[in-house]
Amino acid sequence: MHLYNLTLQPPTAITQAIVGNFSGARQQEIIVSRGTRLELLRPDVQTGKVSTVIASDVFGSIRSLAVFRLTGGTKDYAVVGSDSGRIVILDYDPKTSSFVKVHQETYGKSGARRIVPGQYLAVDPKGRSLMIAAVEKAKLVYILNRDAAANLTISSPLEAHKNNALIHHIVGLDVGFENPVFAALEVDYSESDQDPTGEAFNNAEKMLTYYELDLGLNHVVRKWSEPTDPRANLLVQVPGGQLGSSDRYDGPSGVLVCCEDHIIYRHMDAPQHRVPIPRRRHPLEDPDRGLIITAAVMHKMKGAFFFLLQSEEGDLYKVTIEHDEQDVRALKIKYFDTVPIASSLCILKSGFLFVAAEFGNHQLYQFQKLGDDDNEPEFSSTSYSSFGMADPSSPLPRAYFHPRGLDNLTLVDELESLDPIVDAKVLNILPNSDSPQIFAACGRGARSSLRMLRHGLEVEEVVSSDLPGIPNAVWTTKLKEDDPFDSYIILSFVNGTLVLSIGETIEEVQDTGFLSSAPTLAVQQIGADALLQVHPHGIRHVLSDRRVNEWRVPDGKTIVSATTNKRQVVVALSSAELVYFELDLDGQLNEYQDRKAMGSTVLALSIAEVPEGRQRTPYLAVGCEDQTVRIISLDPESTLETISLQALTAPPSAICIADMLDAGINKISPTTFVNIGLQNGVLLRTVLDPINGQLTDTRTRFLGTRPIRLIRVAIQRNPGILALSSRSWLNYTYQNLMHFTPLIFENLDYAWSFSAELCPEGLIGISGSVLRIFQIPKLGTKLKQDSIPLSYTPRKMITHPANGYLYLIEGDHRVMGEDAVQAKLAEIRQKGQKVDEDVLNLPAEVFGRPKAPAGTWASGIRIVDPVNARTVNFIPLDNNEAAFSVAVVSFSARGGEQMLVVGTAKDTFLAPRSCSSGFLRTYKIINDGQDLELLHKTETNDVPLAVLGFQGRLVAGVGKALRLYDMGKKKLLRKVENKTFSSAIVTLATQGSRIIVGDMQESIFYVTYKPPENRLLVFADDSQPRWISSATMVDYNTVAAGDRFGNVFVNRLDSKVSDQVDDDPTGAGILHEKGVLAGAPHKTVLLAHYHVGDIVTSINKVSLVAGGREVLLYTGLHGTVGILVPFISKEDVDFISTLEQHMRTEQGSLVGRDHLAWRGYYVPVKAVVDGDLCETFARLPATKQSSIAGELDRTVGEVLKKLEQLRVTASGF
Amino acid sequence: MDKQPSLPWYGHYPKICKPTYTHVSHTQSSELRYTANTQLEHLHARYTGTGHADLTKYEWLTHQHRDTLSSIVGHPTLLSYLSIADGEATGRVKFEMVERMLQPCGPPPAKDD
Repeated sequence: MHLYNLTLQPPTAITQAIVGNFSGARQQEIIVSRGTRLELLRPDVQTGKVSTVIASDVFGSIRSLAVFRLTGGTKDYAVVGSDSGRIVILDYDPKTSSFVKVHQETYGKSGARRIVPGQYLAVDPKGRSLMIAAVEKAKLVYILNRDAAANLTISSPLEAHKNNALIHHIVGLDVGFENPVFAALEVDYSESDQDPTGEAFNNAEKMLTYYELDLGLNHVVRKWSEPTDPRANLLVQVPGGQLGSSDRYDGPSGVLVCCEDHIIYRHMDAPQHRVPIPRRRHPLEDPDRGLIITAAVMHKMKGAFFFLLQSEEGDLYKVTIEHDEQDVRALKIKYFDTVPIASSLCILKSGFLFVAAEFGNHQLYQFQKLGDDDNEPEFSSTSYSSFGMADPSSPLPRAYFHPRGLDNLTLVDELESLDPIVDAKVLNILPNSDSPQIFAACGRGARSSLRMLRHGLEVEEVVSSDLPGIPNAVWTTKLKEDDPFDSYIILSFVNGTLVLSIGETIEEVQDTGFLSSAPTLAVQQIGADALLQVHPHGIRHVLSDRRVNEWRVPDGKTIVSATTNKRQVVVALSSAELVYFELDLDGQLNEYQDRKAMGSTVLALSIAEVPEGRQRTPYLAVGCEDQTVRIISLDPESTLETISLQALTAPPSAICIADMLDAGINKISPTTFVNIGLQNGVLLRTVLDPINGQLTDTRTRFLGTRPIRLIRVAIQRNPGILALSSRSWLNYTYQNLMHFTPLIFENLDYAWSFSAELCPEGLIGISGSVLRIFQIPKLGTKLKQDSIPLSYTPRKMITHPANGYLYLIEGDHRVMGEDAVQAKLAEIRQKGQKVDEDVLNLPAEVFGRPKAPAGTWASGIRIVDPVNARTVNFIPLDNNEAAFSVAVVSFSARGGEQMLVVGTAKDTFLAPRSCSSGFLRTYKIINDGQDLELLHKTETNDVPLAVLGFQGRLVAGVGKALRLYDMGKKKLLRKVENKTFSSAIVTLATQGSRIIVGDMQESIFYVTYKPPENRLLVFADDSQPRWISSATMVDYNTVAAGDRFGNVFVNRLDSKVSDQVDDDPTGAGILHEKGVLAGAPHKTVLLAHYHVGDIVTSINKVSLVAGGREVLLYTGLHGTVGILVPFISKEDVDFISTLEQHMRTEQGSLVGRDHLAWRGYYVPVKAVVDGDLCETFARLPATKQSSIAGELDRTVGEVLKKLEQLRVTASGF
Repeated sequence: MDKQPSLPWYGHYPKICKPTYTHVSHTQSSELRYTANTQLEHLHARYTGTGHADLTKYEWLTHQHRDTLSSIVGHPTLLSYLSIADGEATGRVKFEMVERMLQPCGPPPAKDD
């Protein structure tokens, strides 16, 4: 087996974000790390929409990002710390729209290790140096400078190591132009490692240490080190230093030390200031719980600065420092607003706040005000004795605020994110859909959602209206060449034409010069200010003064097909003749003296737009009934001569020539594509050679069951093609690469571009008798999302085989269930205390739920109707029970009735795993699946993490035990048990009498059930330990699984062993066989292994295209959706593996990680080709492309075609 | 020290990085052993976590846990995974992981001499 890995949807989580002027223009951009990808986002200041400029796979794990600018520079650089053991400085080149590696310095081993730097990055605010640190000990300082040619230079590293020191955070101090200083938050463990009494551990101090880089001596010294709060976790830079022009100080310099419950201002030789972090006054608050700051951002404005700090609850605090030159007078903190918990916060100079959420959708907010003069209570260090530092070891009295809705910020844009995908199922349940949908259980806590993902572009309908009849075509047209918007909509019916004018309203107009008594074949704004209508009996040339020049078809003939552009018109007559017209310099339409006889009925015609600065386009494509397409010259030298001919497999139904940019073929100028739609629903795309008019590089794609119609449209001012069949597809250029994606919209019969003031980049289409105006808001996305909100973090979901509903279990740790909340409130009320209803009723999806101590759970079972995207029912679990597994089981003891079994546990603790009691809840599915009736609860001694129906009974993984249960009257009856599993059973799958058990730590076990002896026997296992996160059976002997470190692998059992086990009636043979490697008697063989870089949370074996092959579709925690496609032939394997090898050498990773080492992070990559790497072939420079293609004995086009074919046949994407 | 490490997920948690062992053969001549030992000391100073012949169970375990904890902090997906399981913010999980690195396996056993 050989697999091809393709990522359909790259990870959508943002682990870090930085803001800067990366393109060197005045506009600010945001660079985000998506774990294994770097993206440059550009927020539009006018519309507030965030768009992706470039996205690049780095083939490594990004751990830290920082931004710096050299003194006097105008452009920002990004520094990337990763697991490559190298520091990389990236520059964004707006010309080629790519990241350019400016420097790559190796300092250590690869991998996210304890003492290899890469975890933390800090830069000097003046861009003179940077520090990169590890979690323990190692800190390296690099000096940044310019050489004579003003290029960025980087020095060799200077060590600032401290042995036995754990590093919590580092930050660059703002010291102006004095020697750069870095502050680190460190703890020394050497003493606590030696002291058996534990006293040293209790007294361990967290030190705030300053490291000064002496630029003169080229040396780093530990300048200052003082103990600070032992629960400090984060440092924030405070502005300082003098401006060059004046003596004034920007700020006091130093750092904010964010601790549990407190913020401390700290600087060398300066008094400390301490303020409490205000808490929500919530009746359900856990008073023992501290509050920490998890994200922070400092913003400098003219002559002022402030901080926004975010607590782990999502509350933003505005922190200000009152200072007199370098002396701090007061540190003040107040509640600002509440936004989703962020992994990074970015403030843009244009007044936006970008919140890269740690889970769920990312948000862009606009500042309305800065909370300067509101009634929010402010807490100042001056109101405490000695600025709050009278007794640093005891906490300050707690400060409280009242959470409320957004006041200072407004939401302007949201970036959809699937992160985290906890479970997913691939099903095709939508009516009239030929490709399956992915149902992904996403999100965490109250922001969770169940999302339905469909392949296709989202379409936003602007307006739709019913028409009196069924039109067969629609056009829009401007009146003059330089009009910004369209003025007319022309609808063609079987026996007439209707013209509508676009204004305040859309209404019919009569005196347009268009013939209304006949259908229309083509409409064109021609020349400077004239219009053209082609109808079956002639061509009407409507001049600007409404005079009409008409060309009439000779008697007995009609026009069957027409194509037009701004200067040329070609019509085909029913006599299979072509007539060619061209606009002369006076604006007169002149017929070419000869007509061209084609010999076969013409079915379709197309000419391209007139290239800029030219008189005409030189080629005409003609599709004839004899199943050919001919390219005919329109050049004055050889007018109407046939240049080339292509044979087809079916009669053509439409042709469309368009000049589109595809960087895979030509990096600079657009390529001329001839798209040929056939009557059998197949689309051929060929490239027209601009020199000799030959057709090359044909690619085919099946679009649908109806004859194809092709329409040239404008997509964001670039040419695109709409292909209409039984589904509508859009072919467009996005980020210089060609995309071909279906539209998720009603079937269209005809469509055209539409541009009006309210909808400048829209499309207009007809479906049946309805006219629809729509636009495509999210170009570049391949999956459309529809979501259903959930209450708690989804854990698992299951489909019912008969009723089509999804049963989903949700649960949140450290959250009180609804019954516990009510009990606690009643208790408070009984004590006579008042309950603040306002705070209680705050929406949980914004403010989250109050945190409860460990071991507290809120959970429930949800029934979802996926077709109508709604929740049918929600059954909360009470008594601190939480659901962990779910299955639909048809019990043969109940005549095969399907029951829902939910594995739950009460008072569950995660570490170490314990519960007061586990339960298997058996529910009767009533009311056509819309409701559940609890039949009984069966107690278990451990958490049932996996349940599954098996041969009319239930098989359950209860902690370390695998058990078989049968239905009983009062509870489930335990029939047989196997307790040989080592840690905990997390997945179950079955076929026949075989059960595949995934263990939390020890990989996959093959178990067989022998009914005569009532035995569950483990007969095979894996030779390696694996922390299984998901597993699925590929066939009877093969299993594909993902583990917790981001690997996906395929194991197979020898078929001889399989047969032998199946043939043994009692299992006595297996029982007495000798174990191998302290395990089962047989071992599985590793067939394929691949490091995805994201934790695989579900694997589904599905076929994504109608009639296509089955592939393995996996989802990753950070929002990845990918597929593993088995290769069909040995040649393909050889070809693609060789291409991958070449790509590895040509396409270096952006973070400097070796590709082979990355894909073989834990276990060497085996029998899997990285399709994402291969597909970057399209982005390589042309010379490299041709040299690689040469080595493979192919042309560049053939390589690209092969790659596209692999993608399209497997996924349809 | 026999205390189960308590990470917020079921059961044990992964030991990701194995400590590197440097074997010193006992058949070497004393002189050679001397130079090898200085090399070893150098290695130990340079590469924290390197094992040696006299490594105690406590030291080995502490190294394992510190390696694991730092690996969790260093892999964004693992950090997300644990924080979803535990219902805490990733920032909190990261902080608690680094805090725990100070003494992941309790105080060292008393020396009996």
